[in-house]
Amino acid sequence: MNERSDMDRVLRHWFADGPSEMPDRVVETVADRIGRQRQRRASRLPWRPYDMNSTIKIGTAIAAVFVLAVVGWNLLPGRPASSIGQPSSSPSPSATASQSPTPSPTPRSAQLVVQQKNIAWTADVPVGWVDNGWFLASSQGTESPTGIAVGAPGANYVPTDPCDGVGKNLDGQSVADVVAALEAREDLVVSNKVDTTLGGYSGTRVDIQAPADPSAYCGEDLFIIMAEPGGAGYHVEGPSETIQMWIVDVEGVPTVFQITSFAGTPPGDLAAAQQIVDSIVITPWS
Amino acid sequence: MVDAPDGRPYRMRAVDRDLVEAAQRGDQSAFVDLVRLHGDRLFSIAQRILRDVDRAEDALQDALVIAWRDLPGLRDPDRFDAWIHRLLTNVCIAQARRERRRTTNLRLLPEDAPAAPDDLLSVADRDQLDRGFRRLSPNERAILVLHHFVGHTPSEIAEMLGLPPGTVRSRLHHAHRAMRAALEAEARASTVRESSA
Repeated sequence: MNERSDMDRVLRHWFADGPSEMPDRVVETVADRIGRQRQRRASRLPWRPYDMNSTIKIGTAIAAVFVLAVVGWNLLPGRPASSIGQPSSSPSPSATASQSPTPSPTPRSAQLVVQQKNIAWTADVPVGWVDNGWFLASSQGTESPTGIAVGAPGANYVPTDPCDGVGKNLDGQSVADVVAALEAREDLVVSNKVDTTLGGYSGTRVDIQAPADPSAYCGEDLFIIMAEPGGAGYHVEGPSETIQMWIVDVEGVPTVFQITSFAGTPPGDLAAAQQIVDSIVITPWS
Repeated sequence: MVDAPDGRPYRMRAVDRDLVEAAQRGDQSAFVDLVRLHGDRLFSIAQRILRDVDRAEDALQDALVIAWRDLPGLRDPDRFDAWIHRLLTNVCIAQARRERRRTTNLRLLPEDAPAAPDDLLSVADRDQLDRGFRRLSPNERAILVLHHFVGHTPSEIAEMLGLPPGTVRSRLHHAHRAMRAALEAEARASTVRESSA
Protein backbone atom coordinates (compact mmCIF):
# COMPACT_ATOMS: atom_id res chain seq x y z
CA MET A 1 0.00 0.00 0.00
CA ASN A 2 1.47 3.38 -0.93
CA GLU A 3 1.60 6.40 1.35
CA ARG A 4 -1.33 8.10 -0.33
CA SER A 5 -3.77 5.21 -0.09
CA ASP A 6 -2.58 4.54 3.45
CA MET A 7 -3.39 8.12 4.40
CA ASP A 8 -6.76 7.83 2.66
CA ARG A 9 -7.55 4.78 4.77
CA VAL A 10 -6.43 6.46 7.99
CA LEU A 11 -8.54 9.53 7.33
CA ARG A 12 -11.63 7.55 6.33
CA HIS A 13 -11.28 5.53 9.50
CA TRP A 14 -10.74 8.60 11.64
CA PHE A 15 -13.66 10.55 10.15
CA ALA A 16 -16.00 7.57 10.46
CA ASP A 17 -15.55 7.66 14.20
CA GLY A 18 -17.77 10.37 15.57
CA PRO A 19 -21.36 11.35 16.26
CA SER A 20 -23.73 10.68 13.40
CA GLU A 21 -27.08 11.71 14.85
CA MET A 22 -28.38 15.24 15.02
CA PRO A 23 -29.56 16.13 18.53
CA ASP A 24 -33.35 16.31 18.69
CA ARG A 25 -33.25 19.85 20.01
CA VAL A 26 -31.92 21.06 16.65
CA VAL A 27 -35.29 20.30 15.04
CA GLU A 28 -37.13 22.14 17.80
CA THR A 29 -34.81 25.13 17.66
CA VAL A 30 -34.92 25.37 13.88
CA ALA A 31 -38.72 25.05 13.88
CA ASP A 32 -38.88 27.90 16.35
CA ARG A 33 -36.41 30.08 14.46
CA ILE A 34 -38.00 29.67 11.04
CA GLY A 35 -41.32 30.65 12.61
CA ARG A 36 -39.74 34.04 13.20
CA GLN A 37 -37.71 34.17 9.97
CA ARG A 38 -39.40 35.41 6.81
CA GLN A 39 -38.37 33.86 3.56
CA ARG A 40 -36.42 36.02 1.18
CA ARG A 41 -38.25 36.98 -1.99
CA ALA A 42 -36.26 39.94 -3.24
CA SER A 43 -32.56 40.43 -3.69
CA ARG A 44 -30.57 42.34 -1.13
CA LEU A 45 -29.69 45.97 -1.46
CA PRO A 46 -26.07 45.90 -2.50
CA TRP A 47 -24.97 49.34 -1.35
CA ARG A 48 -25.73 50.44 2.13
CA PRO A 49 -26.16 54.15 2.58
CA TYR A 50 -24.81 56.14 5.45
CA ASP A 51 -27.28 56.34 8.30
CA MET A 52 -28.38 59.88 7.69
CA ASN A 53 -29.09 62.43 10.34
CA SER A 54 -32.01 64.78 9.83
CA THR A 55 -29.89 67.61 8.42
CA ILE A 56 -28.45 65.37 5.76
CA LYS A 57 -31.88 63.96 5.00
CA ILE A 58 -33.25 67.44 4.39
CA GLY A 59 -30.22 68.37 2.29
CA THR A 60 -30.55 65.22 0.27
CA ALA A 61 -34.25 65.79 -0.27
CA ILE A 62 -33.56 69.30 -1.55
CA ALA A 63 -30.83 67.95 -3.80
CA ALA A 64 -33.16 65.26 -5.12
CA VAL A 65 -35.83 67.86 -5.90
CA PHE A 66 -33.20 69.92 -7.69
CA VAL A 67 -32.06 66.97 -9.78
CA LEU A 68 -35.65 66.04 -10.63
CA ALA A 69 -36.34 69.63 -11.63
CA VAL A 70 -33.34 69.69 -13.96
CA VAL A 71 -34.28 66.37 -15.53
CA GLY A 72 -37.92 67.38 -15.82
CA TRP A 73 -37.04 70.70 -17.42
CA ASN A 74 -34.94 68.92 -20.00
CA LEU A 75 -37.80 66.58 -20.79
CA LEU A 76 -40.48 69.26 -21.13
CA PRO A 77 -42.35 69.25 -24.48
CA GLY A 78 -41.17 72.07 -26.66
CA ARG A 79 -37.64 71.93 -25.37
CA PRO A 80 -35.21 71.37 -28.22
CA ALA A 81 -34.42 67.68 -28.51
CA SER A 82 -30.75 68.48 -28.57
CA SER A 83 -30.98 69.78 -25.02
CA ILE A 84 -31.52 66.29 -23.69
CA GLY A 85 -28.23 64.78 -22.89
CA GLN A 86 -26.38 68.08 -23.07
CA PRO A 87 -24.76 69.60 -20.04
CA SER A 88 -27.43 71.06 -17.80
CA SER A 89 -27.59 74.70 -16.85
CA SER A 90 -26.87 73.82 -13.24
CA PRO A 91 -24.55 76.34 -11.66
CA SER A 92 -22.78 73.60 -9.74
CA PRO A 93 -19.01 73.18 -10.02
CA SER A 94 -19.36 69.96 -12.00
CA ALA A 95 -21.49 71.70 -14.60
CA THR A 96 -18.72 74.20 -15.03
CA ALA A 97 -16.25 71.39 -15.43
CA SER A 98 -18.36 69.78 -18.12
CA GLN A 99 -18.25 72.94 -20.24
CA SER A 100 -14.68 72.18 -21.20
CA PRO A 101 -13.76 72.51 -24.89
CA THR A 102 -13.54 68.73 -25.27
CA PRO A 103 -17.06 67.34 -25.52
CA SER A 104 -17.83 64.26 -23.48
CA PRO A 105 -18.38 61.22 -25.73
CA THR A 106 -21.04 59.92 -23.33
CA PRO A 107 -24.09 62.17 -23.19
CA ARG A 108 -25.03 63.31 -19.73
CA SER A 109 -28.65 63.31 -18.66
CA ALA A 110 -28.48 64.63 -15.14
CA GLN A 111 -26.36 65.03 -12.08
CA LEU A 112 -26.01 62.81 -9.08
CA VAL A 113 -25.83 64.72 -5.84
CA VAL A 114 -24.78 62.77 -2.77
CA GLN A 115 -24.31 63.93 0.77
CA GLN A 116 -22.28 61.74 3.07
CA LYS A 117 -20.74 62.02 6.46
CA ASN A 118 -17.78 64.24 5.62
CA ILE A 119 -18.53 65.43 2.09
CA ALA A 120 -21.11 66.22 -0.51
CA TRP A 121 -20.21 65.13 -3.99
CA THR A 122 -21.68 65.41 -7.43
CA ALA A 123 -21.16 63.49 -10.63
CA ASP A 124 -22.50 63.56 -14.14
CA VAL A 125 -25.00 60.80 -14.95
CA PRO A 126 -24.61 59.37 -18.44
CA VAL A 127 -27.72 58.59 -20.45
CA GLY A 128 -28.96 55.12 -19.64
CA TRP A 129 -27.39 55.05 -16.18
CA VAL A 130 -29.58 54.78 -13.13
CA ASP A 131 -29.26 57.12 -10.19
CA ASN A 132 -29.73 55.01 -7.09
CA GLY A 133 -29.35 57.92 -4.75
CA TRP A 134 -25.94 56.88 -3.47
CA PHE A 135 -24.39 55.33 -6.51
CA LEU A 136 -24.87 55.02 -10.25
CA ALA A 137 -25.47 51.78 -12.08
CA SER A 138 -25.62 51.06 -15.77
CA SER A 139 -28.58 49.40 -17.43
CA GLN A 140 -26.77 46.12 -16.71
CA GLY A 141 -27.42 46.59 -13.01
CA THR A 142 -24.77 46.14 -10.37
CA GLU A 143 -24.49 42.38 -10.07
CA SER A 144 -22.40 39.66 -11.70
CA PRO A 145 -21.70 38.85 -14.48
CA THR A 146 -22.14 42.15 -16.37
CA GLY A 147 -23.01 44.74 -13.75
CA ILE A 148 -21.17 47.91 -12.89
CA ALA A 149 -21.58 50.72 -10.38
CA VAL A 150 -19.85 53.95 -9.45
CA GLY A 151 -20.12 55.46 -6.03
CA ALA A 152 -18.69 56.11 -2.61
CA PRO A 153 -19.24 53.61 0.18
CA GLY A 154 -19.29 56.37 2.80
CA ALA A 155 -16.93 54.36 4.98
CA ASN A 156 -13.19 53.95 5.20
CA TYR A 157 -12.76 51.21 7.78
CA VAL A 158 -11.53 47.96 6.26
CA PRO A 159 -12.37 45.10 8.63
CA THR A 160 -9.78 42.36 8.93
CA ASP A 161 -12.66 39.89 8.89
CA PRO A 162 -14.61 40.04 5.61
CA CYS A 163 -17.68 38.85 7.47
CA ASP A 164 -17.57 41.73 9.97
CA GLY A 165 -20.42 43.95 8.88
CA VAL A 166 -20.39 46.08 12.01
CA GLY A 167 -17.12 47.85 11.40
CA LYS A 168 -15.62 50.76 13.28
CA ASN A 169 -15.18 54.48 13.05
CA LEU A 170 -11.53 55.28 12.40
CA ASP A 171 -11.45 58.98 11.82
CA GLY A 172 -7.81 59.31 12.74
CA GLN A 173 -6.40 57.09 10.02
CA SER A 174 -4.66 58.16 6.84
CA VAL A 175 -5.02 57.17 3.19
CA ALA A 176 -1.91 55.02 3.65
CA ASP A 177 -3.61 53.26 6.59
CA VAL A 178 -6.61 52.38 4.44
CA VAL A 179 -4.41 51.08 1.63
CA ALA A 180 -2.35 49.06 4.12
CA ALA A 181 -5.54 47.57 5.58
CA LEU A 182 -6.67 46.55 2.11
CA GLU A 183 -3.28 45.04 1.32
CA ALA A 184 -3.32 43.14 4.60
CA ARG A 185 -6.53 41.34 3.67
CA GLU A 186 -5.54 37.87 2.47
CA ASP A 187 -8.91 37.46 0.76
CA LEU A 188 -8.30 40.43 -1.53
CA VAL A 189 -5.72 40.92 -4.28
CA VAL A 190 -4.62 44.55 -4.32
CA SER A 191 -2.58 45.76 -7.28
CA ASN A 192 -1.64 48.74 -9.45
CA LYS A 193 -1.20 51.09 -6.50
CA VAL A 194 -0.53 54.61 -7.85
CA ASP A 195 -0.72 58.18 -6.64
CA THR A 196 -3.78 59.94 -7.96
CA THR A 197 -6.10 62.89 -7.61
CA LEU A 198 -9.87 62.89 -7.68
CA GLY A 199 -12.00 65.99 -7.56
CA GLY A 200 -8.85 67.95 -6.78
CA TYR A 201 -7.92 65.85 -3.77
CA SER A 202 -4.82 63.69 -3.74
CA GLY A 203 -4.59 60.12 -2.64
CA THR A 204 -3.99 56.59 -3.88
CA ARG A 205 -5.69 54.48 -6.49
CA VAL A 206 -5.67 50.68 -6.31
CA ASP A 207 -7.28 47.79 -8.14
CA ILE A 208 -8.88 45.18 -5.91
CA GLN A 209 -9.84 41.69 -6.97
CA ALA A 210 -12.41 40.09 -4.69
CA PRO A 211 -12.63 36.29 -4.35
CA ALA A 212 -14.14 34.01 -6.95
CA ASP A 213 -16.48 32.71 -4.28
CA PRO A 214 -17.15 35.23 -1.51
CA SER A 215 -19.59 32.80 0.10
CA ALA A 216 -16.68 30.47 0.86
CA TYR A 217 -15.62 33.05 3.41
CA CYS A 218 -18.86 34.22 4.94
CA GLY A 219 -21.44 31.66 3.94
CA GLU A 220 -24.65 33.51 3.26
CA ASP A 221 -23.42 36.54 5.16
CA LEU A 222 -22.18 39.52 3.24
CA PHE A 223 -18.55 39.71 2.16
CA ILE A 224 -17.53 43.10 3.42
CA ILE A 225 -14.93 45.40 1.92
CA MET A 226 -15.63 48.42 4.11
CA ALA A 227 -18.01 49.04 6.96
CA GLU A 228 -18.81 51.52 9.67
CA PRO A 229 -21.25 51.16 12.54
CA GLY A 230 -23.74 53.66 11.09
CA GLY A 231 -24.56 51.27 8.29
CA ALA A 232 -22.28 52.74 5.65
CA GLY A 233 -20.07 50.41 3.71
CA TYR A 234 -19.74 48.13 0.78
CA HIS A 235 -20.03 44.40 0.24
CA VAL A 236 -19.25 42.58 -2.97
CA GLU A 237 -22.12 41.56 -5.19
CA GLY A 238 -20.88 38.49 -6.90
CA PRO A 239 -17.97 36.26 -7.74
CA SER A 240 -14.68 37.74 -8.92
CA GLU A 241 -15.73 41.33 -8.52
CA THR A 242 -13.19 43.96 -9.56
CA ILE A 243 -13.06 47.19 -7.61
CA GLN A 244 -11.17 50.20 -8.89
CA MET A 245 -10.77 52.29 -5.78
CA TRP A 246 -9.70 55.87 -5.22
CA ILE A 247 -8.86 56.77 -1.63
CA VAL A 248 -8.32 60.51 -1.38
CA ASP A 249 -7.53 62.72 1.56
CA VAL A 250 -10.38 65.19 2.03
CA GLU A 251 -9.25 67.49 4.81
CA GLY A 252 -7.65 64.70 6.76
CA VAL A 253 -10.35 62.08 6.18
CA PRO A 254 -9.59 59.20 3.79
CA THR A 255 -12.56 59.26 1.43
CA VAL A 256 -13.30 56.37 -0.85
CA PHE A 257 -14.76 56.28 -4.36
CA GLN A 258 -14.97 53.20 -6.49
CA ILE A 259 -16.02 51.51 -9.69
CA THR A 260 -17.21 47.95 -9.20
CA SER A 261 -17.43 45.64 -12.18
CA PHE A 262 -17.10 42.07 -13.40
CA ALA A 263 -15.32 40.27 -16.21
CA GLY A 264 -18.47 40.46 -18.34
CA THR A 265 -19.06 44.18 -17.88
CA PRO A 266 -19.24 45.81 -21.34
CA PRO A 267 -16.15 47.95 -22.15
CA GLY A 268 -18.40 50.86 -23.02
CA ASP A 269 -19.85 50.84 -19.52
CA LEU A 270 -16.34 50.80 -18.04
CA ALA A 271 -15.42 53.83 -20.14
CA ALA A 272 -18.61 55.61 -19.06
CA ALA A 273 -17.84 54.79 -15.43
CA GLN A 274 -14.42 56.36 -15.77
CA GLN A 275 -16.05 59.51 -17.16
CA ILE A 276 -18.34 59.59 -14.15
CA VAL A 277 -15.34 59.41 -11.85
CA ASP A 278 -13.63 62.16 -13.84
CA SER A 279 -16.70 64.36 -13.35
CA ILE A 280 -16.82 64.00 -9.57
CA VAL A 281 -16.71 67.22 -7.62
CA ILE A 282 -16.16 66.97 -3.87
CA THR A 283 -17.27 69.54 -1.33
CA PRO A 284 -16.17 68.91 2.26
CA TRP A 285 -18.63 69.75 5.03
CA SER A 286 -16.14 71.70 7.10
CA MET B 1 -18.13 6.70 -1.75
CA VAL B 2 -18.01 6.35 2.00
CA ASP B 3 -20.67 4.70 4.06
CA ALA B 4 -21.91 6.14 7.30
CA PRO B 5 -21.12 4.15 10.46
CA ASP B 6 -24.62 2.70 10.55
CA GLY B 7 -24.17 1.30 7.07
CA ARG B 8 -26.52 3.65 5.24
CA PRO B 9 -25.17 4.95 1.97
CA TYR B 10 -23.74 8.30 2.79
CA ARG B 11 -24.63 9.96 -0.45
CA MET B 12 -27.88 11.90 -0.20
CA ARG B 13 -31.06 9.95 -0.56
CA ALA B 14 -33.37 11.12 -3.30
CA VAL B 15 -34.90 14.31 -2.03
CA ASP B 16 -38.62 14.48 -1.86
CA ARG B 17 -39.23 17.15 -4.44
CA ASP B 18 -42.69 17.78 -3.05
CA LEU B 19 -41.26 18.66 0.35
CA VAL B 20 -38.79 21.11 -1.15
CA GLU B 21 -41.45 22.75 -3.29
CA ALA B 22 -43.85 23.00 -0.37
CA ALA B 23 -41.14 24.55 1.79
CA GLN B 24 -40.37 26.99 -0.99
CA ARG B 25 -43.99 28.09 -0.82
CA GLY B 26 -43.60 28.77 2.90
CA ASP B 27 -44.76 25.45 4.38
CA GLN B 28 -42.81 25.28 7.63
CA SER B 29 -43.82 21.71 8.46
CA ALA B 30 -42.47 20.55 5.10
CA PHE B 31 -39.18 22.25 5.89
CA VAL B 32 -39.05 20.60 9.31
CA ASP B 33 -39.59 17.25 7.56
CA LEU B 34 -36.62 18.06 5.34
CA VAL B 35 -34.58 18.84 8.44
CA ARG B 36 -35.51 15.48 9.95
CA LEU B 37 -34.68 13.74 6.69
CA HIS B 38 -31.24 15.27 6.20
CA GLY B 39 -30.28 16.47 9.66
CA ASP B 40 -28.17 13.50 10.74
CA ARG B 41 -26.00 13.62 7.65
CA LEU B 42 -25.60 17.39 7.78
CA PHE B 43 -24.77 17.31 11.47
CA SER B 44 -22.13 14.63 10.86
CA ILE B 45 -20.45 16.78 8.22
CA ALA B 46 -20.51 19.87 10.44
CA GLN B 47 -19.05 17.96 13.38
CA ARG B 48 -16.21 16.58 11.25
CA ILE B 49 -15.27 20.01 9.92
CA LEU B 50 -15.55 21.82 13.24
CA ARG B 51 -14.46 18.94 15.52
CA ASP B 52 -16.86 20.11 18.16
CA VAL B 53 -20.41 18.93 18.81
CA ASP B 54 -21.71 22.23 20.17
CA ARG B 55 -20.27 24.33 17.37
CA ALA B 56 -21.52 21.81 14.83
CA GLU B 57 -24.99 22.13 16.29
CA ASP B 58 -24.81 25.92 16.10
CA ALA B 59 -23.53 25.82 12.52
CA LEU B 60 -26.23 23.39 11.47
CA GLN B 61 -28.96 25.52 13.01
CA ASP B 62 -27.62 28.64 11.31
CA ALA B 63 -27.31 26.88 7.97
CA LEU B 64 -30.86 25.53 8.20
CA VAL B 65 -32.33 28.91 9.06
CA ILE B 66 -30.45 30.47 6.14
CA ALA B 67 -31.72 27.62 3.96
CA TRP B 68 -35.28 28.36 5.00
CA ARG B 69 -34.82 32.05 4.30
CA ASP B 70 -33.25 31.54 0.87
CA LEU B 71 -35.11 28.42 -0.25
CA PRO B 72 -37.54 30.33 -2.52
CA GLY B 73 -34.51 31.35 -4.57
CA LEU B 74 -33.51 27.74 -5.29
CA ARG B 75 -34.43 27.39 -8.93
CA ASP B 76 -34.21 23.62 -9.23
CA PRO B 77 -35.64 21.68 -6.25
CA ASP B 78 -33.71 18.61 -7.40
CA ARG B 79 -30.53 20.51 -6.56
CA PHE B 80 -31.54 20.81 -2.92
CA ASP B 81 -28.95 18.24 -1.83
CA ALA B 82 -26.01 20.04 -3.40
CA TRP B 83 -27.36 23.41 -2.35
CA ILE B 84 -27.75 22.55 1.33
CA HIS B 85 -24.34 20.84 1.33
CA ARG B 86 -22.72 23.94 -0.02
CA LEU B 87 -24.57 26.20 2.36
CA LEU B 88 -23.63 24.15 5.41
CA THR B 89 -20.01 23.84 4.32
CA ASN B 90 -19.71 27.57 3.88
CA VAL B 91 -21.26 28.25 7.28
CA CYS B 92 -18.82 25.79 8.84
CA ILE B 93 -15.86 27.38 7.06
CA ALA B 94 -16.91 30.82 8.26
CA GLN B 95 -17.34 29.58 11.81
CA ALA B 96 -14.02 27.74 11.74
CA ARG B 97 -12.36 30.92 10.52
CA ARG B 98 -13.73 32.91 13.42
CA GLU B 99 -12.85 30.18 15.89
CA ARG B 100 -9.36 29.82 14.48
CA ARG B 101 -8.64 33.48 15.04
CA ARG B 102 -9.75 33.20 18.63
CA THR B 103 -7.70 30.08 19.35
CA THR B 104 -4.56 30.77 17.36
CA ASN B 105 -2.48 31.21 20.46
CA LEU B 106 -4.18 28.65 22.62
CA ARG B 107 -2.87 25.19 23.22
CA LEU B 108 -5.21 22.76 21.55
CA LEU B 109 -6.66 20.06 23.70
CA PRO B 110 -8.75 17.08 22.67
CA GLU B 111 -12.36 18.04 23.30
CA ASP B 112 -14.08 14.73 22.90
CA ALA B 113 -13.51 11.69 24.99
CA PRO B 114 -10.72 9.63 23.44
CA ALA B 115 -12.00 6.81 21.33
CA ALA B 116 -11.29 3.24 22.22
CA PRO B 117 -8.01 2.00 20.76
CA ASP B 118 -8.28 -0.06 17.60
CA ASP B 119 -5.87 -1.83 15.34
CA LEU B 120 -5.46 1.11 12.96
CA LEU B 121 -5.28 4.17 15.16
CA SER B 122 -4.13 4.50 18.74
CA VAL B 123 -5.53 7.10 21.09
CA ALA B 124 -2.31 9.05 20.62
CA ASP B 125 -2.69 8.82 16.84
CA ARG B 126 -6.20 10.21 17.07
CA ASP B 127 -5.03 13.02 19.28
CA GLN B 128 -2.29 13.92 16.81
CA LEU B 129 -4.70 13.73 13.89
CA ASP B 130 -7.03 16.03 15.75
CA ARG B 131 -4.26 18.52 16.42
CA GLY B 132 -3.04 18.34 12.84
CA PHE B 133 -6.55 18.80 11.52
CA ARG B 134 -7.18 21.87 13.65
CA ARG B 135 -4.02 23.45 12.29
CA LEU B 136 -5.36 23.22 8.73
CA SER B 137 -7.13 26.16 7.16
CA PRO B 138 -10.94 25.97 7.33
CA ASN B 139 -11.05 25.40 3.57
CA GLU B 140 -8.60 22.51 3.81
CA ARG B 141 -10.61 20.97 6.64
CA ALA B 142 -13.78 21.17 4.60
CA ILE B 143 -12.05 19.70 1.56
CA LEU B 144 -10.73 16.75 3.58
CA VAL B 145 -14.17 16.04 5.06
CA LEU B 146 -15.99 16.38 1.76
CA HIS B 147 -13.50 14.06 0.10
CA HIS B 148 -12.88 11.39 2.74
CA PHE B 149 -16.13 11.45 4.68
CA VAL B 150 -18.78 12.45 2.17
CA GLY B 151 -17.02 10.92 -0.81
CA HIS B 152 -17.02 13.88 -3.18
CA THR B 153 -14.43 14.02 -5.94
CA PRO B 154 -12.12 17.06 -6.15
CA SER B 155 -14.13 18.29 -9.14
CA GLU B 156 -17.38 18.07 -7.18
CA ILE B 157 -15.77 19.89 -4.25
CA ALA B 158 -14.45 22.55 -6.60
CA GLU B 159 -17.94 23.17 -7.91
CA MET B 160 -19.36 23.23 -4.41
CA LEU B 161 -16.84 25.68 -3.00
CA GLY B 162 -16.43 27.77 -6.13
CA LEU B 163 -12.73 26.98 -6.40
CA PRO B 164 -10.70 25.83 -9.41
CA PRO B 165 -10.29 22.01 -9.39
CA GLY B 166 -6.51 22.45 -9.37
CA THR B 167 -6.74 24.50 -6.20
CA VAL B 168 -8.82 21.81 -4.53
CA ARG B 169 -6.30 19.15 -5.52
CA SER B 170 -3.35 21.17 -4.25
CA ARG B 171 -5.13 21.91 -0.96
CA LEU B 172 -6.01 18.27 -0.62
CA HIS B 173 -2.37 17.40 -1.21
CA HIS B 174 -1.21 19.93 1.36
CA ALA B 175 -3.76 18.70 3.89
CA HIS B 176 -2.62 15.11 3.39
CA ARG B 177 0.97 16.09 3.96
CA ALA B 178 0.06 18.01 7.10
CA MET B 179 -1.95 15.12 8.49
CA ARG B 180 0.82 12.66 7.67
CA ALA B 181 3.34 14.92 9.39
CA ALA B 182 1.12 14.97 12.48
CA LEU B 183 1.05 11.18 12.59
CA GLU B 184 4.80 10.93 12.00
CA ALA B 185 5.41 13.34 14.87
CA GLU B 186 3.44 11.02 17.12
CA ALA B 187 5.39 8.00 15.82
CA ARG B 188 8.68 9.72 16.66
CA ALA B 189 7.41 10.62 20.12
CA SER B 190 6.35 7.00 20.71
CA THR B 191 9.80 5.77 19.74
CA VAL B 192 11.41 8.16 22.20
CA ARG B 193 9.02 7.07 24.95
CA GLU B 194 9.70 3.40 24.30
CA SER B 195 13.47 3.79 24.17
CA SER B 196 13.55 5.77 27.40
CA ALA B 197 11.28 3.33 29.24
